[in-house]
Amino acid sequence: MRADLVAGSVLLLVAALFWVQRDYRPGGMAGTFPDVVLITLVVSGVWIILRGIVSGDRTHRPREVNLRILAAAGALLVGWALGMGLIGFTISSVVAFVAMATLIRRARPRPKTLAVDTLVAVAVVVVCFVIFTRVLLVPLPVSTLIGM
Amino acid sequence: MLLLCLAGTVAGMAVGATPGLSATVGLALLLPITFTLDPTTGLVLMGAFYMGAIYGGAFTAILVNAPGTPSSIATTFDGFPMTQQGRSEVAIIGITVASVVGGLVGVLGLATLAPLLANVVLAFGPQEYFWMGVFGLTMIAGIADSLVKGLAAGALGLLISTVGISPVGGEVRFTFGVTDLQGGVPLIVALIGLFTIPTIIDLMVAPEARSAAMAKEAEQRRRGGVLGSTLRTVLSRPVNLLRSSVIGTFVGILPGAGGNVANLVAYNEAKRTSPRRRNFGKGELDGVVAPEAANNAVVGGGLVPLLTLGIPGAPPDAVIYGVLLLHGLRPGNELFTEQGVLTFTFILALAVAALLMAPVGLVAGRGLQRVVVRAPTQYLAPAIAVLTILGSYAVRNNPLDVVLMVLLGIAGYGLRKVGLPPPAIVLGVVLGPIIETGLGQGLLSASDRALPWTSFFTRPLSLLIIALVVLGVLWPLLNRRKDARVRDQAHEEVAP
Amino acid sequence: MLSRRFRGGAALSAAALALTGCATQTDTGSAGAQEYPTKQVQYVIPFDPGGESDVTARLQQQALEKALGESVVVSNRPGGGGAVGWSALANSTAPDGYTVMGANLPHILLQPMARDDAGYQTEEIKWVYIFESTPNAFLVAKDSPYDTLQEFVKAAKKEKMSVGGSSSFSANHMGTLALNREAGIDLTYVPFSGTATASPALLGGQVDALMSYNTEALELQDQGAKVLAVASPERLPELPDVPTFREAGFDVVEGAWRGAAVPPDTPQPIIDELAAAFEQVNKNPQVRQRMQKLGFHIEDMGPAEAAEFTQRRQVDARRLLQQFGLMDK
Repeated sequence: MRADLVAGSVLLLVAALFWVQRDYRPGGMAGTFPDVVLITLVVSGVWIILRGIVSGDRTHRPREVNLRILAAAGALLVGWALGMGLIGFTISSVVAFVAMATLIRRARPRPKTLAVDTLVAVAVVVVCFVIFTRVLLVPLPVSTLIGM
Repeated sequence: MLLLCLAGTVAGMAVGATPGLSATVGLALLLPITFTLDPTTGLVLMGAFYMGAIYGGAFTAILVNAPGTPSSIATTFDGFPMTQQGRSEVAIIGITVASVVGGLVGVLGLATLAPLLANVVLAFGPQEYFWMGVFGLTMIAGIADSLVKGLAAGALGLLISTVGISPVGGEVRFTFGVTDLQGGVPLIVALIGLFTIPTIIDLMVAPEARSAAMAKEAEQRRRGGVLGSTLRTVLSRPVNLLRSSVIGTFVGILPGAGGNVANLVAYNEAKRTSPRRRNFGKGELDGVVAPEAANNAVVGGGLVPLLTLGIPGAPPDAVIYGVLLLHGLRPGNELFTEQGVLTFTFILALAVAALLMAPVGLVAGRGLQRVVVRAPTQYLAPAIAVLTILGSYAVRNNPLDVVLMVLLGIAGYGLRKVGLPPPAIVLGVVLGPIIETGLGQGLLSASDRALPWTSFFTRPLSLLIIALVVLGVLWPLLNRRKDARVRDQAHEEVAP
Repeated sequence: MLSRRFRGGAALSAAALALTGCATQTDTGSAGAQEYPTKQVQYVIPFDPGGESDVTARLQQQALEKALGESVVVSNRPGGGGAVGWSALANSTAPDGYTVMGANLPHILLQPMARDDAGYQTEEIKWVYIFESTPNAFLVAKDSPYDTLQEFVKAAKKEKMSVGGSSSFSANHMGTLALNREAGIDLTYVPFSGTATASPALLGGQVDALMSYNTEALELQDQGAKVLAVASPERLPELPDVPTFREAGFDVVEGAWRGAAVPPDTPQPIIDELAAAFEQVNKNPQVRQRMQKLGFHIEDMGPAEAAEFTQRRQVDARRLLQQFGLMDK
């Protein structure tokens, strides 16, 4: 039931977000299709919420994931994505790579493992960087300080 | 020549396996090289590259849930579960057979039926594309456990596809004040976001889940004989292989659709007709064979309109078209008569490339599989992340796409938890433009009628596809009922 | 324990941020033309790989390297019909001549007019050179009852007819609108995603006529379609028997022009240097031959001429959009 309520609410929220962005030229066709989709979204959202209330399945499933790790994982990924545009691909990726490896180990980082992780990270990232920029000619964002 | 084919196939596989680098991008990079080659050599290289790229896209789809190209979307549905069960080697062997057969069927269609098949292109108007898109939506019934949630997820995908410029009318919509969203959300960005990011999060949240699969895989390797048994299994179900290949060839012919649609349709048809359909989505070998046979068949099919009518059937074909023109070759019937030798060399090269995929895939593909399966989780997860970040960036060389990809991925993780299936969202993203374009163009081109929408119900081919839509809606419902009955009977038999 | 570790990571990345500064751009600084160019030049195409603009750039690349004496890398930054790339050019590209972007007419005219926020203004796209064009061509199918443009127009005055073309607010779209205005008819323009989907619609009879480009017209002529008119000022050498719109009595000159542009504040000496390089590229016999094989018409418009040409087209385009109510508010 909780899942249904959450799912339905998310759908309605998304529909509302897009609804306020509606701004079509009168007489054009740009709005026909998205409007139909938005209506579908609202109807199915309401349906799912109602179904959740009616079926009333109140079983409390044990929470199977550690929320703190989940939050850390999300923050790490978002930071990585933003960091790539801000400080370049190589630096952001090495940092995030090591952070992710540490997170997965679930143990207090010792200098030795940290050093190994950094080495692996630098190797993977530099190889990828060289392949993408030199062979595939993809202009990756670079940091001005180290030039890659 | 054989060596050139081999080089093209291998290079294509490498590019195809990288998410974000499509076959088109790779071919464009090859373009300057072909300037210096004679037409035959250039075309052979490109044909082999194209074939290899489509095949390569499946590796990452199976191993890390990151489809290398949009042609391998459905490959993840069963391919990645197989990896999670420690059966990735079986999957890799399965797709190799499928890709070879699919590739050959497509090429055969091209070589023998091209002028005939070209008529299909012309019979397909906006109305037909619209209905084909709607038909695609009926797959939701097969993907989702709950019909209404599947529908809602599909609608979410359709909505994502409307961001940016409207295909008919050229209006900019739903940019939320971000100028770069004029360009919309690219399919591959949505794809790796919704599929791969949740996989990475899973690895971070529960790294220990992988060890069972790793152990099983190792155990299987010790026992050996995987190659033989998988080959036997796949080849013992020729109907699936052939059906999927034919679907791929036909969808490939249509310029408004391509590998991204073909692999989904083939998957759906395989699932619908399979006696093991309840296994689909849980690591069924047929579920990876079908899309991979179809997408390699698209290669041959897509070249049909190009070589006969000068119309590229899929984006990669546009690059090949350019090469033909640069060498003074104008597609059309003369390409099959006066330039017949060149044309058939090209077609032959495609067939050779398809055959070469078998040894290359079984060696390089399984090598890659071994590396990935054995990689420690703390390095595998960030390495996949590097790949997704590079891939989403490389689609348009735009850092915004990386952010979009991650945000969609986190959203996808959450939506999956509440029962809104990410595959249905992706389905919406793929089909949205096809449906909307068909709808708009159909209404406009029939504007001489008093009621333009009636044109959607009067064309014979449209009616045929509508029938398929109805079938597509009813069949899964019938299947559900049948499955339920089988389950009940099983219960009764078990009961004392 | 976990949070401590994570805080450590955050501190680390903060340190990295401070170390590197928030810069991902290549260094700026307005170098004079004397020392330009001294390093690799990025030639960015705001369209997908494999398209006509992209293929042209890859054709030019080698000759451009020779003319500039530095390596040239072609890359793509597609999206929004080019707008995403041009918006980056106008707002966030260093004006040092090391990033040159492909630019197209009429796209850079129409997007700022038709959209709320295209992300750039036409004037911000500073032309270096316009090097090629593809004029519009007007076609009907093989079995169409019309053999001349006049016959088609006469029929269109009586019944509703549809014309297919490649995308909205494109040269094909404008050409159709201009024909509507000049002939006093009301053709319905049906936009397709590109020539690859527009052409089958003509051959398959889904539209009554097609406004396309000379390149595609050649191809379709081979398939039996009839080219009724071309929208160039003079007849085209590859279609010598096809009259121009003007000859047929309608003042329609429309097509797509391609060139290269730089950010708005680029110093004039650098622009001149680049323009000289593109002029040299256009003289390269191999490039010329390849461009002609693809059906492109070679143009030679330097920075001043290109800007003036753009201005002239802008006045026309604005009038046309206003007349058909397609301007953004």
